[in-house]
Amino acid sequence: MRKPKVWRYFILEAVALLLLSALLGLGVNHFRADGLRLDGKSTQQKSEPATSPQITFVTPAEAMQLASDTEALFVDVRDSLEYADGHISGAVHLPYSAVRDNPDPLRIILYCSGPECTMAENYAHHLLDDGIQILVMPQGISGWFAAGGLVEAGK
Amino acid sequence: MKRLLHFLRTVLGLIFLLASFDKLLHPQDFAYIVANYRILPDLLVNPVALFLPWLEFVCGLCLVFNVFSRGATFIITTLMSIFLAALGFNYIRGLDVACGCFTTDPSAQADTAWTLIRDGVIALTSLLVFWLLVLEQRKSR
Repeated sequence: MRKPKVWRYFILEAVALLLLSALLGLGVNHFRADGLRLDGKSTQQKSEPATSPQITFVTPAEAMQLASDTEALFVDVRDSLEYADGHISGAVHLPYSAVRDNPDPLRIILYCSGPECTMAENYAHHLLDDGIQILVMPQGISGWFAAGGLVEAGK
Repeated sequence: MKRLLHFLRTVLGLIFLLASFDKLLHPQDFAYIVANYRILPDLLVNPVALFLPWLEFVCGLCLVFNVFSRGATFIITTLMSIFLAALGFNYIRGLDVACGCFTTDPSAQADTAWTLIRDGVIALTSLLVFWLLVLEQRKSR
């Protein structure tokens, strides 16, 4: 009958430490300004410090180089008719007229195959950590076309 | 034997102290990592992210200063088995999650196989300390 007594010390001490840690965790969280919510509601938005975004200007040739060397997304900001008339291959259509009077930030919604896939979330962390660089190509679609860039037409 | 126990206990305590600091400082980042393991229901993610680092910190302190070291070793051995199981589970599932072992930086995506080996060594060490303490306890009775 020696065994239960040996284990008693281990278990009693462990329970005491568990309680102490729980109290410390809850207590410190209560007094922290950036404490976590415990009501199951998501606190998944990270508060990033507001930084003034730097706009970088590129020539069509530089844009082409960047698009082939790195991951880049072209956004066509013109109206539907002009977009349909011809735009950079693979460009997304987000007209400025729709964005101008809208106070909401631009949302990039990432997804993958299903709940078991965490790539989209990892991608989001990657974007939050490494940031998003916004570039402007002043020469526009005409400059792009003149530089020999690929263009596609239609919606 | 006593010396070996003393040495291993201190090392184990230091490892857990070291592991807890970053998580204590950045609970939100650690919560992301816990959520990313995709094992716990959402309701439990934040409580666990709050509780675990403190448990590691308290147990680490206890081991280093040899206070309540039996309970601390018991907890740490149990924790290590759970961590190993969670990591192994995700490794088999093919999810390359950030480990969240020593840092809350999700970009520190060390390769999981190496993490499994490292955690395995820590788990074995804690098991050894646990066993030595049980032996000591039996002898003293």
